[in-house]
This record gives sequence, C-alpha cells and structure tokens, in this order.
Amino acid sequence: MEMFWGLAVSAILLGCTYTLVAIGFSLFFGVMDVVVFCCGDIAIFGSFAIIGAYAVAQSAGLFGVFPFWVCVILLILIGAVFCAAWGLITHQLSIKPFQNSSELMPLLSTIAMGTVIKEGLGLLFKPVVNTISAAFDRESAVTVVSGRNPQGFPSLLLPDGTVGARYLTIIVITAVILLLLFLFLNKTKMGMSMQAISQNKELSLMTGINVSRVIIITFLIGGVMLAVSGFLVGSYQKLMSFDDGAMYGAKGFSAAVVGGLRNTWGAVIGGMLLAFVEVFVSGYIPKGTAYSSIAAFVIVVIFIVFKPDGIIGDKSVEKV
Amino acid sequence: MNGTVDNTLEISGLDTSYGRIPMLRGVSLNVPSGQVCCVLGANGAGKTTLVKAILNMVKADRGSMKLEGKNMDSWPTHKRVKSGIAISAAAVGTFHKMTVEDNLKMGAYYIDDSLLQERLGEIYQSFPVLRERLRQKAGTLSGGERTMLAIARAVVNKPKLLILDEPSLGLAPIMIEEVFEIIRRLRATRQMSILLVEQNAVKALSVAGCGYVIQKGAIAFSGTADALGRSEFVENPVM
Amino acid sequence: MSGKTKLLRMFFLSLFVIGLLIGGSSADAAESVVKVGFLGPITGSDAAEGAAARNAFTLAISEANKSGEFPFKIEVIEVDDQGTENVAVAGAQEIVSDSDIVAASGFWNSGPAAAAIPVFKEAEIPLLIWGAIRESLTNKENVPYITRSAPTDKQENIPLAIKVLDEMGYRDWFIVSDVSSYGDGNLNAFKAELAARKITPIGEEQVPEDTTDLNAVVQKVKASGAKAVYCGSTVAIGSQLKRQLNDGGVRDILYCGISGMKTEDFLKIGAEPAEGTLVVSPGIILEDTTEGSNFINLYNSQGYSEPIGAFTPYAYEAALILIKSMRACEGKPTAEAMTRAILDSKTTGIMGTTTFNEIGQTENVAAYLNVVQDGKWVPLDKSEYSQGGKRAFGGK
Repeated sequence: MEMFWGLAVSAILLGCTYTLVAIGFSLFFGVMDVVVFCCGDIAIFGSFAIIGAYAVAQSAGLFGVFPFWVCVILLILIGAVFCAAWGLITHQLSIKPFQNSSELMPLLSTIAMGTVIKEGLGLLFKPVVNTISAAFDRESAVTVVSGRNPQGFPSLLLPDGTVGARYLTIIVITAVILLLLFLFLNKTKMGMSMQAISQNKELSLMTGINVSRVIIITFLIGGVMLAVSGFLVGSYQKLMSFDDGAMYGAKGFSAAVVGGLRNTWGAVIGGMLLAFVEVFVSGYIPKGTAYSSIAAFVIVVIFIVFKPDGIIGDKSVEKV
Repeated sequence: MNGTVDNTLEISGLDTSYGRIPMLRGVSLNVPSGQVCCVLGANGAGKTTLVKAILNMVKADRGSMKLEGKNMDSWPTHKRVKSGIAISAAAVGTFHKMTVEDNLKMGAYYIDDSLLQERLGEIYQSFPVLRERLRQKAGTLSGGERTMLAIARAVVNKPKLLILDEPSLGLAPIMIEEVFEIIRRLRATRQMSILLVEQNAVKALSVAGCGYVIQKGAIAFSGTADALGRSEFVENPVM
Repeated sequence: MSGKTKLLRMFFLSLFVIGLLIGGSSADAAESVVKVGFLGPITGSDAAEGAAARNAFTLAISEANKSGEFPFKIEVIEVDDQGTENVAVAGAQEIVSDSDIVAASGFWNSGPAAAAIPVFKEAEIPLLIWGAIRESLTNKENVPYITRSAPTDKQENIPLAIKVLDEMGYRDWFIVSDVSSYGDGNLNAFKAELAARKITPIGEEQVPEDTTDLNAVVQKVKASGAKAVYCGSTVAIGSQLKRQLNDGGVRDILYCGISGMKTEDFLKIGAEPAEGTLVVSPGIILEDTTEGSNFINLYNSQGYSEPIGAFTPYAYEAALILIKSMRACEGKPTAEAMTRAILDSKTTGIMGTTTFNEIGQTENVAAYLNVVQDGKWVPLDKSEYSQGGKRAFGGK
C-alpha cells in the first residue's frame, strides 16, 4: 500500500508538469486551430532562462540585496518574460505567415521553431550567460561549460524544506495556476473572448472581438504558463538538459489530445491520465519501465481511434 | 458635423474578389436611416459576400462605404462593430459551449456592466423564450431559439445598423412568422436601420421599405419595396 | 622520320617531364601534412567527457608537432558526433574522404561507434577507439582496422563487482540501466558477475534514455527492500536516479555504477543527494604517478573550461599510441602502414603499457573506484569511505 501511495504522488507530480504544457497546447489550438509543436521547447527555454538569470543574479550579488523570496519571484518573472516573448515570436514568425496555407505548414514551422529554440540554447546559453555574469563581477562569475551539458536547476522552491513540502508546493502552485486560469477564462472579458474565438472564430469577428489582439495575448499568456511549467519541471527534476523539450512537447501534446485539444480541463485530466499510466506501468509491471512511455502513447492512439473528441467529449458541436 | 444624415449605410462601387475570381462588381446600395431595406438574391449571388464586405471580413478591392456619413473604408472589423454595425447571421451559429446569457454578453462586447444589465432586461422582455433558457448551453437550443439568440445578441448593442443575414434559414413556417414579427417590432420600436438579406422574397418584402436584387455579384434592381414586389424579379419564380 | 616529328616528340617528352616534376613537387607538399581524425560527443548531454577528450587528444598532437620530431605536420580533423549515430556516420564519412587521413580515434558512445565502424572498415582507415566500452566493438571481423585502448564494459564491471560483491558483500541488488546499447552492455556484464556468484537481483529495470522522472523506479526499489542499487547508465539517468532515490527517502543503500556517471555534471544534483555514490573508473589515479601528474599539470596549464573526466587520459593515451605508431612507419605514414603499426604497437603512456590482443582490444586493464564525498569525486582509497574511515556506505 505504501508503494501505491508513493506511485500516486509521483504520478500527480509528473501529471502537473505534463498538464501545464498540455494547457499551452490547448490554449494555442483553441485560438489558432494549429498545433504549436514547440510548447515543450518554450517551457525548457523558460527553465534555462531561470538558470541563466540565477547565475547572473549571483554574480551581480542580487541575493544579498533582496530577500530570497523576492529574488525567486523576480527569476520566475524573467522566465515568464522570455517565454512570453517566444510565444509571440512563434506566433509572428511561424504561425501568422501561414494562416491561409495548409494546416501542415504551421505544424512544420512550429517544429522548426522548436529546433531553433533547442539548438539556440545549446549554442548560445554558454556565451550569453558567461558574458553577462562576467560583466558584473569577474571574480565570482559563473562559467557555464556548455549549453549542451545538463544544467543544475537552482534550489528556489523551499530550499530548506523537506522533499514532501517541496512536492506539495509544486502541486499547490499547479492548482493555483489552474484556478487563476479558470477565473481568467470565465470571468474576464479577455478570457471569454479566447473561448469565443475557440468556439466560433467567424462569429467572434462579427461580435466585434479584436481577434488578432486576443490571439497575441493568448500567446503571451500561454508563454507565461509555459514558463511556470519550466520552473516547476526544473524544481522537480533538478537537472535540465537543453533537449528535454522534445519529450515534454510530445507528452504535453499527447495529454492535450487525450483531453480533447480545445478543452483546458481535458488537458488536466489527459496530463494526469498519461502520468498515472506511465508511473503505474513502470511501478507495478516487473521490468516495465522500458515500456512506460510506449504504454502512454498507446493510450493516445486508443483515444485518437475511439474517442477523437477527447476524454470530455464535445457532443454539442454545431455543424455550420 | 452634418445636421441630418439620410442614409445609415452608403455603399458605392464596391468590388470584391475571391482570389482572382471577381465576386461583387460595382455594388452600390443605401440603407436609409430608420428603415428596413432588403437584399434579395439566389444562393451564390453574392449576398453573404456583401454582408462580410460591410464588416470588412472580406476585403474590398474598390469602392467606398460610409456609416452615417463617415467613411469607414480603413476601419478593421472590430472598429466597425464598435461604431454601430451589428450582424445576426443564422448560418454562422452561436458560441455553442457558452450559456445563452454568455452569448448575449459577448454581443455586448463594448458595453459596460451596468448598462449591460439594463439592456439584458430589455432583451428578455422582447425575447421571453431566451429568459427561460439563460443557463442552458447555446449548442442545445433548437433552430428557432438559436435564431432568436442570434438576433438578440446583435440587438443588445443597440446598433445603428442591424444586418440580418437570412434569418429564416432552415426554420419551420411558424418560427419564420415569429422571426418576422420580431423584425416588425424592431422596426416599430427602435431607432435602428435594418439591412435584411433574404431568399424568402415574400416575407422580406412584407417588412421592407426598400429593396435590392443582387444577381451574379451585381445589383440588378433597386427601388422601393412596392416597386420590387411588382417587378419581374419577384414574380419570376426562377430567381 | 622527319626532323619535324622528332621536334614534336621532344616537345611532348619535355612536357611529360615537366608534368612529372610539377606533380612530384606537389606530392612533396602534400607529404608535409598527415591528418588524423578525432570523433567524440563534443556537444550533447555527454559533452563534458567529449570536449575534455578532444582537448587532451589535440593537446598530445600539438605537443608532438612542437617537438619537431616528424618531418610532417600532424593535423586533427575534429568531428562532433553529438553522441548520436547518424551524426557519427556522417562524421566518419567526412574523415575517411580526406585523402591525407592516415588514422582516426574516436567515440565515447558505443552506439555511434558501432554505426561508424563499417565506414572505417570499408575505407580501410584504422580507428582506435578511446572511450566506447561495449564489448562487441572489437572482434575478429573488425581487426585489424578497429582497435581499442579503453577497457570494455565487461572489463570495467569486473573490478566493481569484486569490490561490492566480494569485499563489501552486498547480496540484495536492484539493477537499473537505460535501454541504449551502453546500458544494455553494462546490465548484462554486471548480471553476469552476479550470476557467477549465484546472486539473483531482486529487481531489474531498463529505462528509456530520455526519461527524467524515475520515481516509479524509486518506489519499486523502496518496495523491494534492496540494499544496493547498481546503475549501468550515463550521467543523465545515473544522476536523476540517485537524486530521486534520495528525495524518495531511499538513502540507506549502496548506490554504485559505471564510469559513464563519473562526470562533473553528476555533482550538479547537489552534494547531499550525490553523497556516497560509488563508481568504477577506468585507468589509474593520475595524481599517484609521475606521468599522470605531468599530464594533469599540462592539461590544466592550457586553460580549458572542461575539467579532466574519466576518459580524458584515454583520449590523450590514444593520441600517444597514434604518434608512436607513426614513428614505427617507415617514412611517410600511410593508412595501410598505420593499421599494422597500431595493432603491433607497444606504447607506454600515462596509464601503463598498452598492447593489443588478437582482436585489437587493449591488454592494459586499469580501473579504480571513486566515491562522491562532500560534492566531489574522490578516489575510494583516499576517501573517508575507505576501510576504517569515518564514513560508511548505506545498506549495511
């Protein structure tokens, strides 16, 4: 029984990291009708931005000036700014130009954007961080050996707390983000507009929603969510690799598909389902770990075949 | 400022195209203020293109449009809506996963909350059927209720120009009767001009003061509703 | 025969001679350069090892150039295989297509090595493997073109097994590896050692290479009641597993593994989670020998940003073997002469004397154990974990 609960906690934590990426997918799909394949890479970019900003903040002596928690929030904000910027760049460069072409185009161009983000991290993370941190203080400058090496994620989340407390915080932060997202989507004009565009783009135009503005804001907000995801993944995983984004992207996308691509709550359930399948296959089947990812993707295929609308089936779609 | 503006909407020499294929050719059309004007035409004649061009959802190649005398050629869609053009298009549907109430609120995108409550109150008076369905998802409404919702949503804004795009589409005769009753009430009680785009000529002419016929992307007839009713276009069933 | 014809013949003959002279002189110019290839994961998740090895290899070559011993200049064609197979094959093709190439040294990852070996065999260019340890890379079919100066996974697992099974006496094992050929090779090598001692592991898992969340494995270890965990994988999974075991409260165990984990990146998980990790390293403790210390000093004086890793001395040693083999060639080294010379070579470098057996595998097997102590890799014998020391491994 102890093992069951241990596995359940692991699954929930893993599910949290998948969920936030999956929500990125479903937000973008909702307003643009395209699968933005670089969500995972943007999230990993966020965690690298936080690692880099932490290194720079240390050389700049920021941690001596402000209280620790202020620094943590600042670092997360920096990650959020970077990810929001990437969200915007992705929209402007690899989605908007292909609006009127085949659906495959933005698919390919966002995969390409993911490669740009990933390889960019591998190549530029080292010179950029080293240059900025050396500019502050030559003595205590942080030297990143290579952007392609695994990077240690700083202990920003309850560095003195127990492991259990840290896990709980990750779950709570995810829950709070989901709650905020829920309130935003249902209680604000902007959130309602996003839903409107997702449900009926033509009618949204007719009701006077400034659709292009809402789309841009969606990409900014999606970027911020991915940054928080990157922060949580980093805090949970401790060691980040520049190419982790592909795996998170694949898992996040699968979770979004299982949940029904447009459905934000489906993304939560999809993320959790995927994580539970993975963890329990790995945990309860002898030598099962090698097959855990396969099991998760089998679930996705089953959903695509038998329930393409996702777990929260959307039966009330109007045929227009 | 002009003291009086006779026409709510003035379109002159409008050309549009779909890719390289021309759609509308030299369309000129006026909607006098406070009146109901109908546009008749067969499927594919260009009625929907005209409606979308008025909202700039289809780009005009040539020609100009004025709303209450103000040139609006450069205005994007959302600015045209904000300036007082509302559209109710049966074919476009509703926000199916939102409640009826939220659908109405989306129509009132530019109205602040207190005014919104007042307007919603008025709407429920005119559309009692919607009041019973406020918390229901729009996707679960019947066809007639959906048309009511689409009209109500457009009216919440109290537009200067209301465009009704085929409100009778796919409705049972009894519902069509009800829809036109609402149009009559709007004409009688509100200070808004209505552009009624219809295939059902008899019904449309029963409420309209002036009429246009659009054929193959060009205006084939313009005049009063009476004149249109007596013309070959209405009597000829081929139209 | 008319004088005119004679004149024409003279003319063409002189053209021919001039052509020979020009051709000859250009051949002379080419002779002054001899090229060797270097392949390794200079970037990618194994970059710490690959880049340090590249540094050491080029360092040895540039020392040889500086010494003025050879009448030609040795140039290195560096290829970054990124630890992936297709990149490695492309890189190998780039190397063998250079007409001045006489030998190459490469590979830290076994998969890319296996993929690229046919390219070298086909082109008949000798490849000396400096860091990939899968046993099957050297074999009867691959000799004489493929040789290896690093120990195999089997050779590497033996000293570890002797230490933890025979000397320390752990019996309750949970063994983990990744699904790559490296992980597979290690898993099988260690399992063979267990089987030889009639021990059945109480748990066994292979994880996909891109796995970052190993908590399910941690829970399994916890439930199994294992006293010792063996991890036959590289640093990415080795470090994540150790950290998550620690986070999951599985602390009172022995955690041991293979040289692929012994990089500076492993220590990034933090001093406390990393503490007590025992890994086997190929080679010798450099500080303990004169040649080793000289190498450390030489390497550190160059200002490289990558510190010396487990296989860095092997890359240096590989370059020394190539240089020694060039000496054995008469005159200008050719690929053909080098193939023979490498296999027959006997090189005393920084880690003892390397000779090759009939399948091209080194006969010089040196290995020692390392442990993480206070966030640093320390040779076991010099650590507080050594016998009678202040610290003890878990699971006892």
